[in-house]
Amino acid sequence: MHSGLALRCDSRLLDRVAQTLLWLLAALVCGVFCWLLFDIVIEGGAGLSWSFLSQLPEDAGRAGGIASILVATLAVLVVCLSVALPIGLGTAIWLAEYSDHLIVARWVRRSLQLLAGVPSIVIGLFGYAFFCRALGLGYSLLAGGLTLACMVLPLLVGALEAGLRAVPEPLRQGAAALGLSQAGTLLHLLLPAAAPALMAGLILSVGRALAETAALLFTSGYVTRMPESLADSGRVLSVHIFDLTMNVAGGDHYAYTTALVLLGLLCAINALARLAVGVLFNGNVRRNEQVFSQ
Amino acid sequence: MNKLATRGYSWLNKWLFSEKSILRLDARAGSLQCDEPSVNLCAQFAQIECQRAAPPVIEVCDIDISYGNNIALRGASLNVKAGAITALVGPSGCGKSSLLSVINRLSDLQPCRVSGRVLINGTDVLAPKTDVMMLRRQVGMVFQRPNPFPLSIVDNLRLPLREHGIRDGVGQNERIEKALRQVGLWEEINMRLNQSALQLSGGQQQRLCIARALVLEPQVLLLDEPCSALDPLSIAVIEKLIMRLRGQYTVLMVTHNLAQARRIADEVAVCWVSDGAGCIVEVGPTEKLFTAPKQRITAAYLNGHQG
Repeated sequence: MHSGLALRCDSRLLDRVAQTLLWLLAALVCGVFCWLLFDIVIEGGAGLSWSFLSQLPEDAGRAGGIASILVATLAVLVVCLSVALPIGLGTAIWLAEYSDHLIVARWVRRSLQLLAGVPSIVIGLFGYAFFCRALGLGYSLLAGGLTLACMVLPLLVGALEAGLRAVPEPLRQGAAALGLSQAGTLLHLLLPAAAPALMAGLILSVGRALAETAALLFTSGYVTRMPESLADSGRVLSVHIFDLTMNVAGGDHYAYTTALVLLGLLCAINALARLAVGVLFNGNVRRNEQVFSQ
Repeated sequence: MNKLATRGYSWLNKWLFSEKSILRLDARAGSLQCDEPSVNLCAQFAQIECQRAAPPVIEVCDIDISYGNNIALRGASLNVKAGAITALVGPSGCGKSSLLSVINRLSDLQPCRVSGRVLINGTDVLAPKTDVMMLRRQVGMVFQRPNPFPLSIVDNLRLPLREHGIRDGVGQNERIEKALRQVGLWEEINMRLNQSALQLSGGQQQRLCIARALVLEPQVLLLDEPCSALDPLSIAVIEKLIMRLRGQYTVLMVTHNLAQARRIADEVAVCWVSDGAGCIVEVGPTEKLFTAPKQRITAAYLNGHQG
């Protein structure tokens, strides 16, 4: 009796210690993020202004702004997503819905897993050899975007396939029992249900694409002038930050400011993706208002 | 520019006309011809006609179902009377649900092998050339757990209609209202048809699922333990609803609830597991089977001594 009580006290103490530890760990993670954000805002906030966003870089980035850098970044991102999104969507749908019992599917999945694990510098090397040299695109935004597409493809496919597979089985059964076509089921039921996963994959991909430096150094180049077409080379934000920090003495402040812009851009794109998916897929309920209200 | 506008207008006209002609085709399916202006009336007549379309007989002939090396059902034969309510009863794992899913070919989705024949009004639904979508339109199914689509209430019913080519708004709305009235949901929810179906109670969701099957105007209804996830009050409502369907649809229902089978079924088929595989032991009119069964197993099971 007595020892049982002592044991219970012991386990209660253990519980409390474990709980405190977990809280501390969570606080640590939060703290690291806050420190990072604080640092960037303190160091770079002062330089942030409209003219910083709208002017071209001067004196290797020590003065002026980042207008051309922003344009190049957005161009690379648009190329990357407009290539990766349709291919990724198609692949994920095929993997999740049409490829059951096929051996090919296993190979596709395995190669995607491998692709996801390939270091970005190696993907950059491939992009340089294939897009820049073999296809003759040279250092260009197009080559950079395509290289990035190779990189984010596994992320997109993985997230979306998991999302499609997570759609509850009764939903599919119900649709099949009503004789709905596979395409109709996919369009009206499965894709909307997997929309949050699609969004997660998209945000992950955008984050990865925006952060990428190594693969873009030798595919889209690092000249700071304003790109005039996708065939021009250009410098993206992450490369700009790298260059200002490592190669330009006195560029630290603007490196921080650029990092701040990069974070802002990431947040803005996340919000936009959230909005787009919401409008595209969750409008079903609202769309039918007032049909029956006569 | 002017020319282009007139051409666009005539194209629009043609399109509208073809919409109407689809409507007329619908009406003809109910062996009715009607004029253009009375589209409304026409759809109503078509509905009445459809209601009168006689429910079919289902003959299950020597069906074997196996999952890998596991035989779920062996040599099952069963005649389901037209327009009657037939209950499939038996312990878990005796292949009742598997048998049900063969009838609308939902078994196609599962990794199982099926042999034998299922005839609906003499047509073999297991034949490879069967139009599965058309079959499933004629054979509605309701599952154990309510599975409404995560859409609005009205879209739950509209999606199957649209997918089966019924696209005109008036016809859709009439069918939707009729189906909801059939399951007794119309009075309860006609003010909030645009709400999400997931906000309904469990019993209402299940009735919505039945309405979703009925909206396609099937002739056969397969119910896979439709009450097992519901509370007693909802069960009573659903039982009443199923009894109202008698005569209009051929209903085949799996249930674990013997009292329920006795209350609502015209015929009962008892399934059992023997030699590691499911089989149908005895089929007969409900009261006869409960009071004077021929098989010892039937007697033991129906009286609660075994199973």
